[in-house]
Amino acid sequence: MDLYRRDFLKLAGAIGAGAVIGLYKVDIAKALERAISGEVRLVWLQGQGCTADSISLLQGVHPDLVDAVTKLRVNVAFHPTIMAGSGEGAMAALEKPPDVLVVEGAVPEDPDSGFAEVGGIPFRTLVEKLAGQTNVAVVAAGNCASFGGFPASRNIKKLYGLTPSPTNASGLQFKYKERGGILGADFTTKAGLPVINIPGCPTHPDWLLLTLASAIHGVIPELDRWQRPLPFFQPLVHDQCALRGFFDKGIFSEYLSDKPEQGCLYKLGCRGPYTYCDDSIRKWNNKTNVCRNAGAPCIGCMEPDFWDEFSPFYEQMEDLPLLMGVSAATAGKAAIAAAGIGIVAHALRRGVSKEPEEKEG
Amino acid sequence: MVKIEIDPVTRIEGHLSVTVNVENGKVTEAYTHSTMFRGVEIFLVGRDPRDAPHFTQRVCGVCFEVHRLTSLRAIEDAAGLTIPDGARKLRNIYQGIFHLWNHAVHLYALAGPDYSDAVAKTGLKRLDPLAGKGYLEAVVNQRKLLQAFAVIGGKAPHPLTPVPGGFSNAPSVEKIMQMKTMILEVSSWLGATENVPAIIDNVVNGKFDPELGSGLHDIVGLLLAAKEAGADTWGLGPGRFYAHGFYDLPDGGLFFPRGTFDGGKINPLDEKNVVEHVTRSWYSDESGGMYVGDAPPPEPKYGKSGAYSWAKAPRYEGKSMEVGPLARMIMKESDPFDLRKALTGGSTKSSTLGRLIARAQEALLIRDALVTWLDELVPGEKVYTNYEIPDSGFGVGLWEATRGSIGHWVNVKNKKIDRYQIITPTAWNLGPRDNKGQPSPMEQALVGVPVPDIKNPINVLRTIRSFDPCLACTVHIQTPHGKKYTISTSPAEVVR
Repeated sequence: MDLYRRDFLKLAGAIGAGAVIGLYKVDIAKALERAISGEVRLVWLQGQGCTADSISLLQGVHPDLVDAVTKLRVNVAFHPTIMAGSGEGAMAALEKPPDVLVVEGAVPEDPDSGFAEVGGIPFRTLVEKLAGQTNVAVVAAGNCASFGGFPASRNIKKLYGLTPSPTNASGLQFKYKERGGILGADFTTKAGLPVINIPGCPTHPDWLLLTLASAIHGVIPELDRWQRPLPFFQPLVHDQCALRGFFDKGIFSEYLSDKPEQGCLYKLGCRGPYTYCDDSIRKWNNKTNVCRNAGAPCIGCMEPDFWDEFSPFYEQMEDLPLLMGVSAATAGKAAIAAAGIGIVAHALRRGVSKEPEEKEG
Repeated sequence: MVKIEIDPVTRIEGHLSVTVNVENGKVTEAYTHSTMFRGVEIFLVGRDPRDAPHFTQRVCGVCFEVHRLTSLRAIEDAAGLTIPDGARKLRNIYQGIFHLWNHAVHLYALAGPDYSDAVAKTGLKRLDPLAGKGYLEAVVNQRKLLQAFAVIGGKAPHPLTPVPGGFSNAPSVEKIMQMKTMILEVSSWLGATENVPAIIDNVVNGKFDPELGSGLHDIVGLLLAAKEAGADTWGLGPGRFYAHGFYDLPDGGLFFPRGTFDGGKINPLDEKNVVEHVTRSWYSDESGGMYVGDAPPPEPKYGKSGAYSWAKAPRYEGKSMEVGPLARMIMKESDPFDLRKALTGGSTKSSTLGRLIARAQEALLIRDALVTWLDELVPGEKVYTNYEIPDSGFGVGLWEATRGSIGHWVNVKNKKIDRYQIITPTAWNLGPRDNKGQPSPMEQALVGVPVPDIKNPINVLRTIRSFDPCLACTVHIQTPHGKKYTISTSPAEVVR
């Protein structure tokens, strides 16, 4: 079998990224090295972002991948930060059609606003130009590029009449939950692909690298309704959570840090039941840890519009219709929607809204 | 005159650009332009104060750990809340590990290559980017540090575990050991602080003894190469320093003390004297010019006459102040091994080299403190106290990011955020001119920097990097003939 044609995403979904990376890291490295040779032109742009997605990309990956990225540093504008020395090639990369375009950060809708500029060019103008030229895949890295994210947080008090957000920020093909965004609902690359969203705040390096390796090889990942690669975003955080057993027994932490390893965080505002991704299993920083396991309730950073839909974050979500609406709306498939509704019923049965059966202390 | 446009801050598109005018081989004038705005201080208004740490940590993907802590301090101050001692210890370790990581990345991966053989023909091959042994060892060790961080942070970037009222987990014996093992591994690569004099002898004599610490040989090599390049004679800031200080001690003091330095002596710092000016910033004139705690959310006015940046210009008692490790070491009255005195002509002198040395000295102080702090952790200790949102209140968080002083100011009304102000270290060091035309410390420090070859303005880049701007930057240079050059430089921080 031609390993280059393997669908890294499906593999990742089937056996977990750690195993995939262990088994196929050589192929992934080779895939990334192809970018060096100039066969695949990869351009990474930053708009209204904080760079955490880039920092995340550089963390927690296996040495072979680091090596691959390291080699890319020397040769190509794979990512402007990880290039060393002179960067005339970086500017050149912006002048030629990319094969893969990665965007980090949101895009202000009004090109004349001055809210994000690149060398005097409005960020929107640059994104539209390069996306329109992209041969294979446009990838939105992180929640901001995917859905608008942090800069799109609503101006609740409508200060200075700046709405919906102060800079009217948008994602590439979604603005909040609405399909369209900067590039429009009908946008596809020359290969016929819509924008691939890899949200998270930040995104996970495995998701990004595996998707990039896949895209470089022209493998079309299966996407959910939010255009997220299904293998990474199909699992419900709550289903795979290490604390799930407590939920099932109706044992809930009443306070932050109240025996964090001995209770479910749902009543402290955990959005795990409304959030889809595999990080309960995959974990972060080279499989070191994940928010819930360190006592921190999930804030739902994989979901569109999470900043406004899930804020205030430390309050339990109690509105049942919304609860069910979110579950159904967030689901990538009918089966998942059903599971989501099942969780609501399950939560009710287990007495989420009443006092826990036991309270120590 | 040759005009050089430098585009630092964010990678290829650059969120901070710097324009430098050069005459007779020296910089005569510099202007910094921040070219990205998100409106954080606007969209925080009306929200639950407990959400502020989640939101504000997203201001910067490199300074996330400290925006979160500073925000927590502000909202806890507004609530009149004191966190338990166990949380104090954990927050110190959380920040200490990150602090060491950040300094290591800066010294080896960002500033280091500027003085490497590959970039500047210094003979310092170990720091050659992506090839030198020292550089590659640092790559491995920085990874261990962030993994140690994630043990209590849950994940990095954007950890959620420091929470209003304390910390969200009290580490078990196993987790403490896990962190300690990783920190000690990194520590032994670096080498003991007491080995510094012997390592200086080694480096001067071209010797290398890994038993004393590989990491320290490289840092000392870097500092001596910078001295050789003359970095002690340029990059001079205003000579005034400002530090909020950080790391709470059990007695109520700070491990790095708070204060200002006016060139002669250390004075107490009163945050009531902090004013952000917007005369040259793209905001309505009503958005600044008063005590920061009283300032309204900034009203964007892109294209305002005379303005050239989205950053504001913070001033203390009307003066520009340099912030960062050098400022902190001055307030601590510390100059380990007299390195700054010996190499820059004074422990309190501002220069490109002075900033580098202070960063290295601080990294050693933090490493030594971390090892002690880890031993002070008590498994199962109380690390949280319940946080009640006050009906109304005003709170201030004054703390330090790796690259300098950070402040958050919050007004709470009817249990919601009524006003929120943030001043980043980047605004202090790299902001635009103020109401009196006074340049920011970096705009000032770039003046006089020698540029013998405009196609390779390495001393300009070295000086920008010495401020440790936290995102990567791109430098665009334009010659009078319109030819464009682009040089990627070290990181610089995003400004809101």
